[in-house]
Amino acid sequence: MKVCPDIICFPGSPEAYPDRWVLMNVFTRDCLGIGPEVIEFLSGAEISRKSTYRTWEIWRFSHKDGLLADPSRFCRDAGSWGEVSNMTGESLHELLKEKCILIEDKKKYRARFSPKKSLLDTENLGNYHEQLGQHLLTIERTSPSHWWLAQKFNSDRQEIRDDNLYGAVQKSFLMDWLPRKIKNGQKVLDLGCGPGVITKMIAQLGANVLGVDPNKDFIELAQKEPKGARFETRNLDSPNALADIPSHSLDIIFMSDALLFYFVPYQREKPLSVQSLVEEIRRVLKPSGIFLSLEPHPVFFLLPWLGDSDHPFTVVTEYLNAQWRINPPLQKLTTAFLKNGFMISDLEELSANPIFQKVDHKALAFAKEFPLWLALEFRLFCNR
Amino acid sequence: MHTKDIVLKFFDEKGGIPGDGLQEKLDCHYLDIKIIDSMGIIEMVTLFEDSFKIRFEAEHLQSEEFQTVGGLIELIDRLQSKK
Repeated sequence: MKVCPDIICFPGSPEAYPDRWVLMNVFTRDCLGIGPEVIEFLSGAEISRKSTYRTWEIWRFSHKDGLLADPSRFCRDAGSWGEVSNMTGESLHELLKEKCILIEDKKKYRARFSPKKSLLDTENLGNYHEQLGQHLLTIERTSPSHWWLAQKFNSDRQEIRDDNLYGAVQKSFLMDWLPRKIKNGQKVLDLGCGPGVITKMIAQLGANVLGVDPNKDFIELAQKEPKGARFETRNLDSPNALADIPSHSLDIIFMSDALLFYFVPYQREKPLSVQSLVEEIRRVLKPSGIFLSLEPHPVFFLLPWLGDSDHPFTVVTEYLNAQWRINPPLQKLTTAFLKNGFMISDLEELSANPIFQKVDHKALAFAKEFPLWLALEFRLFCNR
Repeated sequence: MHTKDIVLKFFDEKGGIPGDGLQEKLDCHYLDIKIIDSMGIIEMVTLFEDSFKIRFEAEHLQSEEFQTVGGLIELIDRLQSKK
C-alpha cells in the first residue's frame, strides 16, 4: 500500500483550528479532515506510540448547490466539521484506502479515470456531467433540466439569479456587453436559448430575435412571457435544424453555455458535429455578420477554490485531454471557426462585479482572479 | 401482470434482451448492452417506481443487483413485499 501521488494537504481553518487539516485527492476529489498525526502516519514515521488518529468526514457533493457553487467538495469551515472520529491505525488505513489517499495498485487506480459506462457506474470516475448526473439521479432524485433551471434562474425563470456567480459574473457582463454588440433592428438568432432569459435581454435592445432550443419544456417556459422575442423548439442535432433560415440573412448569432456540448457531449453516446454547426452558422450569417460566443472559460472552469480568500489559488489537473472537464481547450474551440472562414475580432475574459462582495466574499475573490467565462466575437473574413 | 413480465416488456420495447432462454435474459447486465442510454435509465427508474408504487434508494440504484434484469426483478419484488 502506497501514498497516492495525487494528494494535497492544506490547513482547513488555520487561524481558528490550526490542528485541523484537509487531505484531498485532486483527481478523484475525495476529501478527508485530519489531525496532523495522520500526516505522520502517511509519512511512515514511527507510529507505535500513537493509539488514535483524528479524522472528520468533510466530503460533500458541493456541485449540487449549482454549476458555479464552490466546486471544492468539502465542508470549508473547520469549526463545522462535526464529530471527530478517533481511529485506530488499522481503521485509518481502511479509510485512507476508501478515500484514494492510499492505493494498492496504481494501474488499477488510474484505470478508474475513465468515462462512466452508465449513470449507475460507481467504479469509473467519469467527467463532471456524469458525476453530476449520477448524483441527481441516485441521491437528489431530480431531473438534470429541472436542477439546471433552478440553479441559474429565479423561481419564475424570467431572470438570472443575483445570489450566485451567474448574476455577479454572467448577468453583469451581459448587461454591459449585449448593448455594445447588438443594435436596434438587427436580426439575431440565439442558438440553444434554454428558457429564453438572455434572448429576451436581446429583444429589449430592439433586435428581431429568434431563440431556438431542443428542449420543448424550456421553449414553453420562454413563450409564457416572450417580451418581444420569438421562440421555437428545434432539434439542433439535426443537420437540417436551420435549413428554413435563408442564407446570409442574419446579423448576429449568439450562443451561450451551449457550444461546449459540441466538443464534450452531454451524452457520450450522442456526439454532435461542430463542423456541421459552424457550416450552418456561416451559411445563415450575412457577410458582415458576427457570431457571439459566451462559454465556460477553457482554463479555470470548475477547479477547486483553495487558499486564503484574499489570494485564492487552484490546482489545474488537466487541460488538453479532458477527463473531468466538460469544455474544450482554447485551440479546439477557436479552430472550429478559424478553419471555416472566421476570424476572432474580440475577446473578453469575464470578471465578477465587486458588489457581490456582500453575498459571497470567497466566490468573488476566486472569480476576480480566475475567469469563469470567455466571450468571443467571430467575424467572417473570406468567402470560401 | 407479474413483475417479471412488466420488466421484460420494458426491455422488449427498448429492443429486447439478447439470449435464447429465460435464465440468460435474467442474467443479462442490461447497462452493458447499451439498449438504454443515460436518459433511459432515468425514465426506467421513474416508470418502475410509478408502476410498482415503490421507491428505489441510492443504495439500490448503486447496487450490483440493480444492474441485471433478474436482480432488478428480485429487488422490485422485495421492495413491494415490504410495503
